Amino acid sequence: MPDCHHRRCHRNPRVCWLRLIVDSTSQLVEHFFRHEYGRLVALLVRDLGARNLELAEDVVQSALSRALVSWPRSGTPTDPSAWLFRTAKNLAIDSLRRQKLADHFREVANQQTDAYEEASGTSPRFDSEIGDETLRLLFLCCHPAIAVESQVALALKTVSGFGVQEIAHGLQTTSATIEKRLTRAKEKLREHQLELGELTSAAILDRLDAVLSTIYLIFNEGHSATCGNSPIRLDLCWEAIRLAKMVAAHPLCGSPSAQALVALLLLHAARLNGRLDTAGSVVLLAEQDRTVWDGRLIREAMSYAQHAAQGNELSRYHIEAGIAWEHCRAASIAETDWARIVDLYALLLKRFATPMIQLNAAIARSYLEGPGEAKQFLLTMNDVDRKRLRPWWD
Amino acid sequence: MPKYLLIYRDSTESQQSQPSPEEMQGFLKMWDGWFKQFEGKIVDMGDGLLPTGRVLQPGGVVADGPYVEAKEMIGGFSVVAANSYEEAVEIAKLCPIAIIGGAIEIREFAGYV
Repeated sequence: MPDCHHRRCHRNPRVCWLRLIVDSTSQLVEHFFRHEYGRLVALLVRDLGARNLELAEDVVQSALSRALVSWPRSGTPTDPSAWLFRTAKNLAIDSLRRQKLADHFREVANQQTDAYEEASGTSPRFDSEIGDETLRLLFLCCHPAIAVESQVALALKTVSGFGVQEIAHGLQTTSATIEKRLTRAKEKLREHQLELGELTSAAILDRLDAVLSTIYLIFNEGHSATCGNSPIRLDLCWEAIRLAKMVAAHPLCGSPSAQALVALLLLHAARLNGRLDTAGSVVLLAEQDRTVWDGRLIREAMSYAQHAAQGNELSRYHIEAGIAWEHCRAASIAETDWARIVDLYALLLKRFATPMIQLNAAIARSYLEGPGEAKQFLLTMNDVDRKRLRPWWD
Repeated sequence: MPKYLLIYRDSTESQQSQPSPEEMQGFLKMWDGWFKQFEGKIVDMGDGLLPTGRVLQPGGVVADGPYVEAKEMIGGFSVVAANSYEEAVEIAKLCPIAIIGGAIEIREFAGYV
């Protein structure tokens, strides 16, 4: 997908030729800056402590600005990641020196830069319980003291490198709201003197559920059918998958639930292609062209599902992945194994009786037994729940 | 061939939130594209200017900050070679600054030196 996200591009026809140039000179992989942003913030926060999260974000932003002026003129450096890290680190040292706190950091940072540069562009690994700094930062964002909606905003901003406007657009809210959520989250971080070093294996495992549900929420925000197929919303889906895979690949937190979450998200992503027509309107499941579903993603999901089946954990992600799999493997709506899907929903309802799941369960039963049950469910639903579900049938 | 100074003027009014990393990467590619397209014409790619500054006024009075009288602040510059103002304008039109909505002042070098 050409990543020409600038707002004016859609209005200004002159920009169209630019896409050609942009694509033919793409030396940097797609989303390079976005992913680097998260990684660099994570590396700096590791060295400076979570209390300096804002400083870390500022210097990374400045390093990207410098690249913007420098790289077109002097050429893209052979190791762009190392260039950005060096620049951001020096900016941080300058800033801290002004605060007269630099001595300690300088020493630590020098050692770590050496280690970093030896690793020549690959992610550095250290003897910490969570080796990957990006994951550490994700776990920091999901601290129980921070409200869930702020966790999502903070994770998207710091871990995923989304801009405030992009987050607002993705979550269908205003930039001001997102700014507020971010400010509150950062206040909590300061209040609790949260440090990444405090994350013990026990704390990590405690927080794993929260991390998985934040990732799930990010995916749902992107996937939600209440609004059009804008690139930024699809970006949220792919970002959620990237984060879920990162968690699933880690020896400590790659639990069967994490594997199941990746499988579930991939099974949803595999069907993104059939979900909207060319005009961007939602196509009902019954009318979707199933040949455009992505078999490669479905196969990938199945290999995660195999890992998820090891051990005796049964999370909501396992059950939901089971339901998604039944849809994926059916050749048409009529050939779908509705009895199996109804059973899976029953299992899910025992644990999570949310209105949304109740509605979906009722719909599944209507395919199996006729519409009576679903009608009954809608009639008996209370107003609050009805309101909450309203976007889904408006 | 005459040389022209392109002075990039960022609007000081529409100071929205910072550009996202994604937008910045897009912007980087636009600059790359522009420099490649006008390779022989761009004499000096120039530089960006920080938003800080000093103004030395007559009588030796020094004030903080760049001259911000207008709605725009100079954010950077480049030098291009062109046969006429018309050609210089055509080059400037395709510059990323123009495309994202910034203003560009174009001035011909006098050639005194």
